[in-house]
Amino acid sequence: MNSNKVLSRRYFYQIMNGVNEQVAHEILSEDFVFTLPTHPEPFHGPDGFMGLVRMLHSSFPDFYINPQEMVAGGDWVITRWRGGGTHTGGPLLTVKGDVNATGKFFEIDGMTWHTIKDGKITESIGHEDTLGLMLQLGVLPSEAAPVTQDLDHNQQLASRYFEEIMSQGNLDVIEEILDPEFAFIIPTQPEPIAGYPAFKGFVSYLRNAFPDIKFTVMRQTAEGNKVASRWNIEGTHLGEFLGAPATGNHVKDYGIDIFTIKNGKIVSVHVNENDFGLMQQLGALPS
Amino acid sequence: MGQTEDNKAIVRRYWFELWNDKNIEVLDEIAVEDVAFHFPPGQAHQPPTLRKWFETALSAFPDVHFTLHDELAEGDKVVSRWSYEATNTGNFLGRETTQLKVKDLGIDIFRIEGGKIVEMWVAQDSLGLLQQLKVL
Repeated sequence: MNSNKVLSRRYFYQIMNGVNEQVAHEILSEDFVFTLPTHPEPFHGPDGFMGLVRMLHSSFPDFYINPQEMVAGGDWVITRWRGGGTHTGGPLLTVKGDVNATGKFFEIDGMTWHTIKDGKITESIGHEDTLGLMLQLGVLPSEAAPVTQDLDHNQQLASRYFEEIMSQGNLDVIEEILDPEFAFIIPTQPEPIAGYPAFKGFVSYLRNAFPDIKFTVMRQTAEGNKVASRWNIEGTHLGEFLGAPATGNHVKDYGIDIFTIKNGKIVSVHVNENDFGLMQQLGALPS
Repeated sequence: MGQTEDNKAIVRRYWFELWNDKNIEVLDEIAVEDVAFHFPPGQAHQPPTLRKWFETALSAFPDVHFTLHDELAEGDKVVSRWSYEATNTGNFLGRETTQLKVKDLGIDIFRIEGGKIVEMWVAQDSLGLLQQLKVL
């Protein structure tokens, strides 16, 4: 992968999502400048930028910003991203003054233009849909009806995801219950598995490795636009998986998925599972 | 290298010949009719097509002029960092004409296939634009 893209990816995942000050000092230059048209003043240096990142996480405790696509050339990397969060924390500084917690969720698109010199990001020019953010948080009046969440419906989407897509391998259900912009986000993959074709490919790959795979949801809870599910899987390893050839081993693994629902469909799932333990059971790592 | 340079040339025609020269006929030469046009999805206004967006913008801001600051290309993508200046001398999305001068800047990503723009993504400061027009 293009080494500049690696730096940009670390900027989003480790600094903006992970609030990692050490990484900020490692990959941002001392004279780093961050500009955004809706911020009157730029943010300078790794420490100045960390101030902005901390403010975002304090206003939106579940804040996220996830790259969707990167284009690189010369000293530049441009990233198209999607970011959001729920305004349950401290006040948000806006052009309309400080806005106290609204309890509302927002998700917007944006782009970031990075300049990279000598292995460090020297400039970040952001453009994002601040208007959409202000409308969704209710800071500006919107003619659109407020989004109401149907928690039972949201839980049913998660249950159908595990039962019909993952356990039964019914690929037709993917387009029915997932948003076209769906992203499957898992630490073992450098980028989200995004969109219908890629996710269908992933489900087929998983089911080729474990044809009898069965997901069981152990507990599940819904709040706002999120559903969290704790699950286990059992299956027999009859095909290649993440480089491990078929072993015939029966494996069992546990994990937690967090789903985000938008317009009645699943738009993303963040997955955490015991990858290390799974690879041990496949004999790919010493146990 | 040749392909990415050709793709950049197509996108330059988009900025200079379509927007700055206001030559609508160029649109058919550089883009397919059903360009997948991704406007920020959080906003109420969603132009149905690129052609419609061009017409809407031009009737509200007939003197709009773009400056292309930076561009790069990789694979089938071209990225432009741009700014514009314009005067609101026409009706914009149902709002009264203000005669105000506005400027904005943003980034667009284009996907090119077979010598034509087939998909594009737009990031711009619509909030700042509405502030300049004193709507907000």
